[in-house]
Amino acid sequence: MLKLHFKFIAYLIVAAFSLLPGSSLMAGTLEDVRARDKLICGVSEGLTGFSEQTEGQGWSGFDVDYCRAVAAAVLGDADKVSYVPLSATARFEALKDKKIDILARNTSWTLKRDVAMKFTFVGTSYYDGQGFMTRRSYGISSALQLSRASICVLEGTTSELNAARYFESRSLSVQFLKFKERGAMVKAYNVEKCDALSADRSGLASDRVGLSQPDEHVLLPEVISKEPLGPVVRQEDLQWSDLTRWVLFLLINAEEWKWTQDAALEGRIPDSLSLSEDVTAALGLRSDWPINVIGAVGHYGEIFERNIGRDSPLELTRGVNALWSGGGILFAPPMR
Amino acid sequence: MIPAKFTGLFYRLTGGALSVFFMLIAFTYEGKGATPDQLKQAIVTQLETETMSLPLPVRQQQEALKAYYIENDGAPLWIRHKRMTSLVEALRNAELEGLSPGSYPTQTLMKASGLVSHADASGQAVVELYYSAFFLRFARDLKVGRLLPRKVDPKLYWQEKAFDAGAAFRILAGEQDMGGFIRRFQPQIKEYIGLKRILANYRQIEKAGGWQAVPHGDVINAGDENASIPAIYQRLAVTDGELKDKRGADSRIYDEMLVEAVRRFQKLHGLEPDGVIGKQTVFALNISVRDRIRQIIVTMERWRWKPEQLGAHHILVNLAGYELRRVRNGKTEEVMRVAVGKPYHQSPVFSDKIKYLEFNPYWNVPRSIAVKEELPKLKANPGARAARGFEAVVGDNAVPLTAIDWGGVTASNFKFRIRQRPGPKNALGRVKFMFPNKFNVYLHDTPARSLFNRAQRAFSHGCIRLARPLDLAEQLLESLPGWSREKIVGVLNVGERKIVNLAKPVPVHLTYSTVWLDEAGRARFSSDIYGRDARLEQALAGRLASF
Repeated sequence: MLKLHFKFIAYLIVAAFSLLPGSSLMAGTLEDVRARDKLICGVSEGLTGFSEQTEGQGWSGFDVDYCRAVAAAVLGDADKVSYVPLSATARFEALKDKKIDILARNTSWTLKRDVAMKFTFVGTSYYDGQGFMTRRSYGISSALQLSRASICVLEGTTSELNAARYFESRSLSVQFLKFKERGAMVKAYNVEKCDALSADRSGLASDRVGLSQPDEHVLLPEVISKEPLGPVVRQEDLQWSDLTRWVLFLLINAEEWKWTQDAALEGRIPDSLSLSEDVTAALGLRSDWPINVIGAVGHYGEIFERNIGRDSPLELTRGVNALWSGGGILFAPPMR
Repeated sequence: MIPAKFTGLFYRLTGGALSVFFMLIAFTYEGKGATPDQLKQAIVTQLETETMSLPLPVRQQQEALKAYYIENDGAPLWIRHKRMTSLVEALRNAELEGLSPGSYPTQTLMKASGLVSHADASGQAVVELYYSAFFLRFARDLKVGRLLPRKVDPKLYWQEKAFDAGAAFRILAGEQDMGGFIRRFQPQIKEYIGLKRILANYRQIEKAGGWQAVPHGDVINAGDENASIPAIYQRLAVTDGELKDKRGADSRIYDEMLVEAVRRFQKLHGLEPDGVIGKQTVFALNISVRDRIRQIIVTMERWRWKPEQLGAHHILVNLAGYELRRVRNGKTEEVMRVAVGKPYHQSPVFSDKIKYLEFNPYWNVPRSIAVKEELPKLKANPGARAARGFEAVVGDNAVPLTAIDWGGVTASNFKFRIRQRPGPKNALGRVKFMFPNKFNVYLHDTPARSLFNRAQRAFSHGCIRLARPLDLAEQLLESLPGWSREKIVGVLNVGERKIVNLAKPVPVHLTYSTVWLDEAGRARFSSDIYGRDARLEQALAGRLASF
């Protein structure tokens, strides 16, 4: 009875808000961003390679470059972004409450978030999955060699459950050491309180950079869960979700066309990109948006290598995040 | 003061607080050395009291380590012994054994020995155990095969071979270095040792640059002139010792000497030795030296799964090579062509013993074949099947096929056993060699003799068909008084089923080796008909192959 009551009140509140001027049904995020001449992007509080703030140089990273790409598309200037660092628990509220225009913070696309929480996932910018990190000195090349290991995990995450299920189904006995906070978990691993760490692989690569001797640790090849990470927007603003989605697709397509940042800066435009005026207008953008985006951040492959790939301390390999034409699963619809 | 727990040892070894550690050593122990007794005591103490704080590789082998060291009062095998550098050396050269140096942390092993002070008995004990842990891992890899593929793809393994860690330690203790250990401990199987030599040869060839691909083109017959001939000569000269320096390298004529070399190549690669250079021959010529090396490595891995005592008198069937060998006291007395299961009816790999022969056998059609293959034929024309000697069995009674109305029979209500009576058309031919097993696989004769003339012979439903079954029968019955060839022929002429038990069961080993040695010790290659090499290679890399 009580529950019903709350639900009803919540419904009334939502209904009342939706009638107010400037509410979600009325205003477009695009107009807001234009009026403000600034994009507000929600990012993680600091995850090496994905979003980090360095003194004097501002924000950088894989997720940050996506924010810059959107700003370049909408405002013609990749620097017109303000970044809002958000914790895992605060991120969805901030988006819902319109404190940010877009959330670009290693967030997994799930049914619940997409449907029940009323967000829209723009697409997958990084196909992640849970993995393991362990010490090189163990001479281990597979998680299947971790029998008897003690493994550090974050408490209450799906990581713990996934890992437990993984080892159980392979009749390997391991033990888990649980932590409430990521920093504490990594520290414990660093001082040999446990033999291995388990979390999303991109995060592990990021954690490794912070260990006393990163080279002495290896990411094992196994991926035991699906974690498709991507930008998130509010569900009701279709124009904004279309726009942000096609910015992501442009980054991926540009790699397929081998359209590099240098080429864009020299003013070269690939043959495969032929957008008529009415198409760009329907997106709410100027016709030069693709060249602005690629000129500012480069294509997907360049963003990857610069922030988290070979040219970065994380040294992640492309793996499944290679283009579909290169053996990966990254696929963007054609831009015509 | 000696730290009781060594949780942080490898943290220190890998740099965690290296400088602090060195200062500590310098400050505390300079000038004093742990006595041998202190070290022994420390080793036993570590194994008895330490659990989670020992490095993972040590914990993973704890029982075996405990068993050995406690029995030997903690006597070290590595510390202050030249075996220590020898182990690192052996692990670095693991590829000589067809293993992978990358699976062992040689860098850390080296650092570990240098980082711990002589005075630090407890630290040295951990280093000793760490060395032993990787020694055991190497010894196991060498003796019974690597562990990872077993976890990745358990279906690759039909029979488990146990690893005796105690034996490894005992042999090591009697040797001064790893070279002696490897010689004594590696699989003592002639074929394995031979493959190891072949592996070294092919590595040599690879180092020298391997060979160039031969262009695909028209079929080349003896006497033809063809632009590809110099390239084919070059290619063959790399692996054919008999061909070298006997011929002008740029002649374009396919002369007799080269035809002979092509025939030799074809014989060693499971091709028709017709001397004609066609598509298949060029394909085989162009398989790279790298791929040949990989083939040798997976084949060596498979030999490690085999029992080392194959038997003084045994039969070896190489499924991939379509060949049976009977070996007595290390000498091959018989080589015979066989036909094996089709890729969808793969013959399994296992070892067993032939216990009896059955002359004029019935062929009891396995239910799967009866339902899938016989039933449609029975519906179409039961008389034709009856004429080939088939009959139905209901309960204990044989029923003529023509007495049954097959119209309403389906896979789900199929309650008959179908068998074929002895006779010239019987699918098992005149004799079968039985080693009853869960796979329902045996060796047998066949009425389809012509198939043995083909180079590729994967035809059967899983059983092994013999080219000259009566020869093998005669050889196996030799020791039974009165069993001459004449007597066998007499039994066959009578035409009735007859079982003859062997006085002494003969071990039979079904193997899958895409590279094996001929009598002259040359490598013979065949194709990966069942895709098992590819699958094992994936599993060795920790991946499950999807098929």
